[in-house]
Amino acid sequence: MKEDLTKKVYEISREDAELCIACGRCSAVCPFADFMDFKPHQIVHMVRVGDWSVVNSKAIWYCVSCLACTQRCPREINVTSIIEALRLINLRERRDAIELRGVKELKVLPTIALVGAGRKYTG
Amino acid sequence: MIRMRILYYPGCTVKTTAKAYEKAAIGVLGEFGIEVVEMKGWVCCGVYPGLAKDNYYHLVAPIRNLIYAQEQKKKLGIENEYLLTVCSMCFNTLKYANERYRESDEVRERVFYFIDDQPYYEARIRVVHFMEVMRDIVGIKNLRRKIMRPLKTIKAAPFYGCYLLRPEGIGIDNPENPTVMENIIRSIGADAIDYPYKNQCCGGYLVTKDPDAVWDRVHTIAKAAIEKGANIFVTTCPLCAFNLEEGQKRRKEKLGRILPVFFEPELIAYAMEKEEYLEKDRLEIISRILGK
Repeated sequence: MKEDLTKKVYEISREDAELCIACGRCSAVCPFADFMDFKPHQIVHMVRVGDWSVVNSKAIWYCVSCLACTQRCPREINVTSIIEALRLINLRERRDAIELRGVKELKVLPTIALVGAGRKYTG
Repeated sequence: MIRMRILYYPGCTVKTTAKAYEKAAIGVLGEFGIEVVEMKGWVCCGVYPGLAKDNYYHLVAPIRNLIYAQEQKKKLGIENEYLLTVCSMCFNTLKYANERYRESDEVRERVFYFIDDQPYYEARIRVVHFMEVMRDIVGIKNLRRKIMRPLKTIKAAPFYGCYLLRPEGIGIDNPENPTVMENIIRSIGADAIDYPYKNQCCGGYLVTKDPDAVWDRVHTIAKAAIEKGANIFVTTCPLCAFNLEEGQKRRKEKLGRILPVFFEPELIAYAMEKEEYLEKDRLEIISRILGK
């Protein structure tokens, strides 16, 4: 049997998905929600019900950690941390989202973008 | 006149793609009697505060820097608690780690599992951003007195981005309705335009994974700023600056025009007639907009 996702995410982020009231504000303010297969409020819901498919979603790699969702959440859930926990579940098992050397714009990008990507996309 | 020395943590990007930012910021502070002393031996801040609460390794790099700063302050006899940053991301990462470190004995103990070659960090340092220093130490009134050449034809779209403002408690202004950039823009005689994207994300590190998504994002931001009549962008984050500049270039045809992107201290330096703090190419762009 698979581990309890809700518990696992809580252990990493100390954020309680159970507090969510599904208002959808996080998805409304997310600058990259249009690119996501699951919107932020759906991600929180999937964590809440323990749906592991969210760990393999595209959406968690489109989160840019801008904290807009966290700022607006009426239940004060750090949605950004929950999504980071889902990324970490992948990264800690060496499932990287990018190969740094293969980055398309490598030559023009500032170091800040590359180090940031190293932190968020690689383990 | 203020007389003080302030220890300064630069970070990687102001030493590479955003040199103009550092030069202008240090120059401007010097004009107000604040001597900026760069700390030695600094390492990468870690970029982006790590949000995981079940381990502590992302706190190691920032805390290591704060220890270096603590020791150098003692050596240099700098008594104030400040550590100056100009990059919004460095500011946030260092300040966030500082706050986490103050949280509990457990955090402090765990962090020192990874740092066994340094003295204990006493957590007395206060990480401040250039904009905070301008607002709270220099003061808008003092700034206004030094403006020799008000930037009357500049209509600036302030772009705060994320990490100068969020999370609440770390950011330096109200994240929903910030005013610090506008107040400075107005005090140097320019106009600050209002548009809906000023405190939103530029796309950040997504530029490494899906640059087109970021260029589209920048298109949306720039389009709104242009429609509101802006003729430049002003920012305090080197990553925002890069994305805004590059994104506009990539979407030039759709946009019709490109707004030059400036760092806030560059405009201040120009308004103070301190052209020596500006890079030559930047000076040309700003002179062109002002029609001089």
